[in-house]
Amino acid sequence: MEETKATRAAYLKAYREANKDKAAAYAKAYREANKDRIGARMKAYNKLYREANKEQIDTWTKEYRKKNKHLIAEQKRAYFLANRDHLKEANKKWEENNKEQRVALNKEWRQTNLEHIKMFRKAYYEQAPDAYLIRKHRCKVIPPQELIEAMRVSLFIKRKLKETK
Amino acid sequence: MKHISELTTELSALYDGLKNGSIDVKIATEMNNTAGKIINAQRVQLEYAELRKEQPDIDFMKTKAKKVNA
Repeated sequence: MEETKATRAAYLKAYREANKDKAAAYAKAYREANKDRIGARMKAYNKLYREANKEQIDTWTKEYRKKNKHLIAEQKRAYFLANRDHLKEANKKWEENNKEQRVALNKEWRQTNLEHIKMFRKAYYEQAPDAYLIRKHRCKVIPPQELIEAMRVSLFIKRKLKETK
Repeated sequence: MKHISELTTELSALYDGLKNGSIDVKIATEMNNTAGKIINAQRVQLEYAELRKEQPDIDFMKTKAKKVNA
């Protein structure tokens, strides 16, 4: 009995080995032919699994992100660098095609975050007043100190005038 | 006005005038805007010199400019 079992197992193994390529091709053809059906089934299964294990998955994701923070940042950076031109081009195209939407979005964002923007500006000005002025005037060269002083006084008066109004 | 520091002095005087009420807000706004134009003109002059890789001796500003993030 044992001998028969061993012989059958050996035969099966040899058969599988001999027909490996054929079986692989068959499986591939089957997958290809039933791609949509398999895909839909997998999707449905994944959805069910995710719903049933939502908390566990969230914890895993959180842990993974925390553990691999540097790796994720590195990957993001690498992706950005590799696709920089493409991303810039796509961004430019989007902005051109959605100019009104972009302006509206920008306006909305500014309105919503006005207090934060003011706080950030104030903090920036207090921390690095020269750098703030250089950035505000979009200077490509660092101006002499006298010019920065003039910018500072002018900005001060502008703010006071705004308060007066 | 011969030097940029005089602009700062003028602006300080403008602020004093605004504070004690001897200068009208509208005039002060216009004067401050003009000062902004002078500042911007100087900034453009500095950037133009930088583009041409020149280190000009600008009388209005004796101190030389440096490139940002250099």
